[in-house]
Amino acid sequence: MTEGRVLEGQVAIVTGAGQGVGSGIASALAAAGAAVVIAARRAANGEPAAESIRAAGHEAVFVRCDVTQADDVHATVAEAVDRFGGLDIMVHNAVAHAGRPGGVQFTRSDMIRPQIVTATTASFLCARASLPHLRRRPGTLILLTSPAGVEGSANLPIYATVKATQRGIVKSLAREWGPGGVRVNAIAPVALTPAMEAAVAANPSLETRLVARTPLGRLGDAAADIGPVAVFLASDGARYITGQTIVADGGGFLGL
Amino acid sequence: MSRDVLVVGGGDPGASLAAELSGDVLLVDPAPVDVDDGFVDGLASADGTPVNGLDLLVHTLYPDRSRTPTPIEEMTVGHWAAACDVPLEAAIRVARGAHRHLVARQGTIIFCVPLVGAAGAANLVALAGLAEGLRVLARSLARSWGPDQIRAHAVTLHPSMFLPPEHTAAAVDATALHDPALGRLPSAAEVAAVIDALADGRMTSGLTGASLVMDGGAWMGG
Repeated sequence: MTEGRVLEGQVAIVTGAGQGVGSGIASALAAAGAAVVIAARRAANGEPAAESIRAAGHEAVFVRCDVTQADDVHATVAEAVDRFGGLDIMVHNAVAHAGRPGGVQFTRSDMIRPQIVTATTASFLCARASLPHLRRRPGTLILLTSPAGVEGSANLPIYATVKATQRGIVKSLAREWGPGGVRVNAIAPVALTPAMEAAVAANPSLETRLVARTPLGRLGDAAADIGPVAVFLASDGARYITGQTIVADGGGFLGL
Repeated sequence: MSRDVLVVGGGDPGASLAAELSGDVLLVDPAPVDVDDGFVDGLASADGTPVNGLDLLVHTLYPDRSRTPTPIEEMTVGHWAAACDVPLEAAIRVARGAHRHLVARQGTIIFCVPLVGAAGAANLVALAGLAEGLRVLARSLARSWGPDQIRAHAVTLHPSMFLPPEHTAAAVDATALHDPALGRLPSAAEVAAVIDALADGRMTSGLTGASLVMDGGAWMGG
């Protein structure tokens, strides 16, 4: 194994990997030696993300996938298995747009269900579709949650709720799958993503406020700060870690 | 003036808590799929008086699908939706519709959640996800409704208070719970007394966003 390539020979799927945290995680997993399936709804994002990994000398392929559709998720898993010979790492990162910040009573009615389905149904679909393959290795499932999913959010209450739901799923699947050696964990990141940049553009003081309450004094970088956390959780170094949420936010949330 | 209390969710623990809570208690048990943003506005007491202001809303709405242990590979998409997504959305819509009624009384909203969410439980993944979502929904409501002087809490209860007796032992095993430190689980009357206290502005007006575990000391995970 080449130094640093701790995931050599492994196969990963990352949902929502066309940009932001998902793209950063996919890049980090590929750099660590995994063959990566970029699962994204839009080829306009997914293809360039895969190409960028290939251009760096690693292995990646884009598969169009709407994570709320069972057929899409199963087809993505099948593609990973057919093309690369199995599945070791399933990362569900895709998230629905949270809409304008505000109290729960102000959230647009039609923006509630998509957030629920993209977080919870998709977590279920990713778990169910990947389980037979993860059991064979045994592999690992990683869900992307948020510090808001622990401490709540005044302005993104639906987002916080569905992210908390994913933490409940992680803890329970860790118990359910542990006897088979399949590990399940969550990452709660804060990173400067396109979504965060859009939020900052709409609310210029946001970045200053976030940085001010972050002990490390900066927002995370998706590839350099969040990706390695996923690599660690997928690696043998984390073989005794399951059911946990790793908060990767520069120390902003210290409540666990 | 008597307190107006709304308990959403029948069976256990909703019905037993409704019988013990102080005030004029209205217990309703809708199908989660039928709950929309106007749900609370459409409620009336037994004498036909429409709900108009709430001092306390207690959420305990968990459908049978959520309470039935099932390995994840045996679940269908419809099963998952009925066990997790639909009741989660119903809870959110109850809260949305209750806001104006709680503002009128500077009231309190409390989500009773099973411990499987905080502790995790094999074969109860959907219920655990639902429970953990509601536990954090309480925190979000506490943050955003605090300026309105509405307080929000989660009260975490032992799985046996939510599950049919035939599933309780398996759930306790699946959650890897210790025996209760007090040697017994709290009664519905004891839980109702805590909820009454959480809704009593004389005792707990400075408390919001709390996540109390009331299980006799079976789980102490924070």
